Amino acid sequence: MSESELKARAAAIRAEQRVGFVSPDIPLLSNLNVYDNISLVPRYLTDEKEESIRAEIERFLDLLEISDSISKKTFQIDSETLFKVKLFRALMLKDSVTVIDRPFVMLNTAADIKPVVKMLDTLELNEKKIIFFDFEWNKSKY
Amino acid sequence: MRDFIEQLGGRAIGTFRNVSGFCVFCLKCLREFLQGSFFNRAAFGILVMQIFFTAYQLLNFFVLLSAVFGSIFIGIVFQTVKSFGLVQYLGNIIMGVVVLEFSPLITVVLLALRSSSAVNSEIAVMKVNREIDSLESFGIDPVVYLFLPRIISFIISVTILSSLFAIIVLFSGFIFSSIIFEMSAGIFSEMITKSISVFDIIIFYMKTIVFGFFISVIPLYNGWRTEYRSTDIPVSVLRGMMGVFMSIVLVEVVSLVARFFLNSL
Repeated sequence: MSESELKARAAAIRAEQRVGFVSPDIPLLSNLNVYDNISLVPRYLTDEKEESIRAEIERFLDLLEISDSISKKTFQIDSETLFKVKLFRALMLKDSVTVIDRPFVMLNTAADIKPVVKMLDTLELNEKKIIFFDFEWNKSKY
Repeated sequence: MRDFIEQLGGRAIGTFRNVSGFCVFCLKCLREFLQGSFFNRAAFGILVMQIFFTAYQLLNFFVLLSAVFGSIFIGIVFQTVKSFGLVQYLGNIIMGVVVLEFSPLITVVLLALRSSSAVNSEIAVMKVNREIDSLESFGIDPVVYLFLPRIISFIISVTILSSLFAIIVLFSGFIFSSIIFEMSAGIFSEMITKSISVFDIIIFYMKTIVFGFFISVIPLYNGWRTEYRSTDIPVSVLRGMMGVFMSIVLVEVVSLVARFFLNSL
């Protein structure tokens, strides 16, 4: 685990909150497809019904126009879709802070955060707290 | 001299750490098993898939192998029994050697070759790719989600497949006995039931459970403690498979001693 993740986790523990990481150092599981990767967190941690989990994931995937990737394995999707799937997985962790660590690295983009902000706007995450972990030292890019 | 002592001490400490680490790992798996953690729906899904991969996918090949291998072995045993005039011991030989020893051994060797190596490399790759760290970062316990379903599926698979092998071998034994000794089905089944004790059946199933446990837990442990380097994956598989074969030999010896001891009571 990188230093930034350790710091974020420590901060979340102090705040008694769980952290959903979106980080280049925290990969998806390569033997699961997109749907299983996203649904793993609620299936393992909650009693939420299977139908409701599927409906939520399908809604998310529709919003970001990546529904066709639902059955694909991680090696079959591009870096942008990979980022979105990691983001969904983190968002599925209820009552948590979502920490996006180095989005520019994950998206292979030089200096434009607009697509990520647009993505988050599309999802209408009203009550979700999202932290860009590299904001402090990458201010110029944001 | 000092270097030698240091080396010796280092190796002893390394071995102790390895053994104690393995014991702690086994105890954690056992604790989660007793707590029924595998009923978690994500873990249970993995358990079902693992039984499918380990036992069901192998079934056709296994039945064929049991029929061919079992028949050859039974044929050799029957010819030997006939040539040495040991027909009165036929039941004991079939049950004692072929069914109780041979069936679980062949099953476990086949599963170790096919599935233990696969599990070892799968977990090692997941470790190197930091996928296990990824699970932990989301609060998913890898023992519950990854390891326990595999251990249970191996135990179930070894038990079912060993029983299947024993049934197929007994059936080919019946066919060979009717051809070579012109024995009827009634006499054959009476001979078999007379030569088996309750202890034998208990030891047979205990052995399959212990075999299943060791051929899964050793590769899982070795995969899990792989360093974060891809070059460590083959080393981990090698260590795991060596451990698996040593455990098979050890369990076989212990079960033989236990059978001898219990039957002499």
